[in-house]
Amino acid sequence: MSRRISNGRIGANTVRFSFDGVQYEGREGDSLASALLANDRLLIGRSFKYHRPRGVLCLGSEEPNALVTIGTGGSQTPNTRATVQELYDGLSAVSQNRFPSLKFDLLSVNDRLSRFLTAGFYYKTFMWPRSFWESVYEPMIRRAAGLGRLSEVEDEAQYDKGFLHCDTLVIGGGVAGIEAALGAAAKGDQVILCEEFSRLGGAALFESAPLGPIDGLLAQLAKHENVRVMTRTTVQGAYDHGVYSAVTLNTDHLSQPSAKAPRQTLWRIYSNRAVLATGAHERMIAFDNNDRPGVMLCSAVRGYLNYYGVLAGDSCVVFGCHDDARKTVVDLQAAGAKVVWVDTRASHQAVEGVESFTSARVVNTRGRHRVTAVEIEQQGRRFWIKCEALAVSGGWNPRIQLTCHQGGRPVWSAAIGGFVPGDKLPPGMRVVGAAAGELLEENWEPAWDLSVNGAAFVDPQNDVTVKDIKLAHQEGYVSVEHLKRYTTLGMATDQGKNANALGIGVLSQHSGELIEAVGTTLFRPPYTPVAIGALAGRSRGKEFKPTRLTPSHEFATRRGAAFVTVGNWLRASYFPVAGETHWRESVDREALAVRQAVGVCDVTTLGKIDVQGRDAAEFLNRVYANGFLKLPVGKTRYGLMLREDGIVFDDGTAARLAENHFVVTTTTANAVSVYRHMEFVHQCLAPELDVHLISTTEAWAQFAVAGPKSRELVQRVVDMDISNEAFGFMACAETKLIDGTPARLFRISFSGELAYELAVPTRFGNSLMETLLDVGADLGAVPYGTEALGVLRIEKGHAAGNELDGRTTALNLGLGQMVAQTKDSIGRVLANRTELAQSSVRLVGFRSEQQILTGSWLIPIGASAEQANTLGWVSSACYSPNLGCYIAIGFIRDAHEYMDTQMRAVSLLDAKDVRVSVVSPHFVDPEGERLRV
Amino acid sequence: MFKLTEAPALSAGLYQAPELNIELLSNTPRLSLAPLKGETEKVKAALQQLGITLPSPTEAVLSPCMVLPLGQGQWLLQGAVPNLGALDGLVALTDQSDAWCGFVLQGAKVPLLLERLVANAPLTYFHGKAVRTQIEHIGCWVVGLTDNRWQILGPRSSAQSLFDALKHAADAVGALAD
Repeated sequence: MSRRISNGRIGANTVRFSFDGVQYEGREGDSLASALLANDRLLIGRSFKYHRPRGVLCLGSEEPNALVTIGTGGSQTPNTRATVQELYDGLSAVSQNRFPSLKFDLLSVNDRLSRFLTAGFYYKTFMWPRSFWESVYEPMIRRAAGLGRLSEVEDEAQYDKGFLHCDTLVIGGGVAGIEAALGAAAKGDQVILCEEFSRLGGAALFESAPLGPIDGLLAQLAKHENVRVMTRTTVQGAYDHGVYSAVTLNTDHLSQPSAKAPRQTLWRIYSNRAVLATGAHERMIAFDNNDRPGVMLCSAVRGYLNYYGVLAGDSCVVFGCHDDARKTVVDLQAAGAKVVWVDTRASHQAVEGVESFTSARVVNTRGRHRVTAVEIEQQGRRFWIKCEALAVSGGWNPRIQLTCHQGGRPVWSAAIGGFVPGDKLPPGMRVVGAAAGELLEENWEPAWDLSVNGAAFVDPQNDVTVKDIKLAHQEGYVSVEHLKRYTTLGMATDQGKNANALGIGVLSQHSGELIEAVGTTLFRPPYTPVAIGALAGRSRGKEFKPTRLTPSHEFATRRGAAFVTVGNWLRASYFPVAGETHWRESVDREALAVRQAVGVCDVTTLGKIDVQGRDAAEFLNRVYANGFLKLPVGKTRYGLMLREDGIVFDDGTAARLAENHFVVTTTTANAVSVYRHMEFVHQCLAPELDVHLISTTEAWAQFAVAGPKSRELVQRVVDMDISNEAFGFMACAETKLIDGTPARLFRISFSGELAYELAVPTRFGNSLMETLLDVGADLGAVPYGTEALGVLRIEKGHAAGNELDGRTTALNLGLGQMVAQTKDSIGRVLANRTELAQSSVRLVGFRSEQQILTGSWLIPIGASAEQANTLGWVSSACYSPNLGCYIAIGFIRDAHEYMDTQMRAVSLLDAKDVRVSVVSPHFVDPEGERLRV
Repeated sequence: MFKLTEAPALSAGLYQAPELNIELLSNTPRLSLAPLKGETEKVKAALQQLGITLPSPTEAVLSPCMVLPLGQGQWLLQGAVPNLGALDGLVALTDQSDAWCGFVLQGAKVPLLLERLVANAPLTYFHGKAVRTQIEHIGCWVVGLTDNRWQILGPRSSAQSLFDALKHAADAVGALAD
């Protein structure tokens, strides 16, 4: 049967869609709700708790009942409001929260058990037996709870984000909004006008009056180039500093969107001013069985009629408590429906030819999957009237949600019988039109709870009834905030757009408190549900975060390297060769190759900062704990950087390339923070110094060439004498390669072997890596990655990030002597405070035949593994292919007492308890002879 | 005897669509310039002789070479940088040719792309303006060159990620316009 009596204001083209597997036809311009109503399909869903049959209640996004799932697989979108889903050819929708079918739902038995499932029942049940909680109750509740289901298939749709700036943001494209936009545009403002619906016009589109005046306003608007109109765009939240979030639905109305078109766009809108012109929607009245399919709000009934051409029923009852109901009566009568008007008020302006009952109320409805009759009570008399639809209006709810997002609370307006914005608005916002309560004074009289003894729904989406509210109040939850949380009133996906005001009215009626005294809860962003995909935008998969590639990345990829992410960097972890099946094989081989021959490792990621200026040395003297004033040109020095509180911040090297030119290196992890720290010191603590800091991390590709044959290899590529006499340990120079490529050379070592770091402009980096391995093939040159780099430095006993963990001092690291006492430097004073200066904690080494885990606690043999017995912790651990055993470095107190003894390295998380020997942390070449050869 | 070869920041850095082109700049000389303490006025005067003005924050100079304010007391010169021998002893000069990657964006739809990536107001990267900002968490410069022409500078190591972000946004602009 078709309820479509005209084209209304939509197109005439037919659109095919399906609902629960049944094929239907609608019209271009329909919403899914209007198309279903046109096909006389009223039963659309089942309620959350009681699984009661439900249908469309409203016209727009405030809809609580008609929630469906659109699409399948990755694009499956549950809890879509049928009232806002635009119809497109091939749309497939299914109902939710029912089994096995919408018409026959097994869990509708809950409705019969409703007296046991009142608000907060779960606080009083599911307690015994205790063992049932995890094995029975929780799985059962999880299966039953929730509305809609996710497909658990990845949503591959594109989502997008953007940033917009304007002088005036107008929220709402009805008459008030359009006029506000015109006013702002005429003053020269850059204006953005956001409208949730697919076209401008607002509530006027859904009334019977001609659209001529609207069309005139739109024509004026089109002339302003400084107005950007964004339809299908919902402003979701009001944030600090005039920032608003909005979501545009780009393709949800299209049957075959482009694969590259983002489905939705999340906008951040920066505005100087905002005008809230979001209008108002009606709310229900609480009476028994007020939730049957076919019971709708008055404005919805006439909206479906006037805009979509759908007549709710041939016989309709209109029930209201203010003048708005009359408009529905008039429009329904004009459409040929038989109308009965029930008004709680003693008098109203009658409509000729319409039977009306004043001082009357609807107290009940009948019908299972659709309303078939309503019970009316008038002056003690009750009687039933058959009908196909019931239109209800309990008053207006201005759409004031955004005014609350910064903590403002709405205030009660007795004149309109609704909540209007309070004084505290988001800065820069003003409210106009129906959202401000304008033009809504319609002789409203209160009609909250008219229930008798049945289920009178206040919040239909969460199945909260009048009885729940009464029970909550009876149990002492008298505050409206407690009422909300105990009953879940207003906590569903519609955030109580219909329910909150009605709930407060019911509470007021039963508590005897004035509505003003009852107060309200707050609305919070988002205004309507937002897809997680929209929040993620493009930040997913490969684009979740930016990737920084090293200069030799192409080489490493061709060599089949395994990669590891280090912050945003992608570094080669190890380079497996044919026959190697386990990472340890590769790493052991690489580490041994460095100790026995020569290895090349891309160390570009370490921070590089050019420090230039007449006071460069003095500046470094202040930021490093050790001295740099007297460092000769052509020499490099290890530098220890402390925080202001005396804790070690970072370590690195500073190479003096010229009198007023140093190159500082930092750890990879601290490249940015050290640079920031140095800029702070320069700008705020030492502005008098003539020094500039220039980040050059990106500009130079840098490679460690390490091993007994490293000199031989490097000499084959650089155009200078690097014998031990000409270029001794810790030397540095600006130089060239043999082919003329500019270069920088540093004789520094992280591995403990004879080693160099060779830098060239980044564009030559990949080629240099290949060249070094090519010309060093006969020397046994191998590439090595971060894993072998780590093994080598642990073998040498070099502290790295694990040891510089924000708790350790120079003294703990065995570097206390490096903190010069004859000059001032960052951290020197507080490094000398008693607690730090007298600490007995020292960096030591550990050996074992069993694997030692990083993070293990060190416990004396025979003592229980408790915090009170801990002597320290393991900070770095590995297998040493050079020593043929497991080694580690870490910190223990009273280290001198425990040297050459044994203790246990305990990891309770991994259930490991390993006996270790305490030794020097310098496992390889403790005297440093290999470095100086 | 070996000869090192140069690798570009990106192997493929071209995107072409109606009214929206993105192209990687290659072989672009860049230099950071920082006047030593007390020498700023001398440096400015010497540069004026060469036709170069040092812009204030948020501004960009576009000829004879591009000049951007890199930080406090530092500027980045890009392109046809004249001989700066006259500044010896007055400035710290540091080659930055390989530190950055640059993309030129051209076309009437570029503003639609930029509003998807750049949080700053469009006026801050209009013709002759430059803004330091983030594009998908990558620290970048957005420089307004001429009408319908912009340049984006980002760290060289993130060239691929930056290009991917630009391409992705360009695809969205194109798809929504269709």
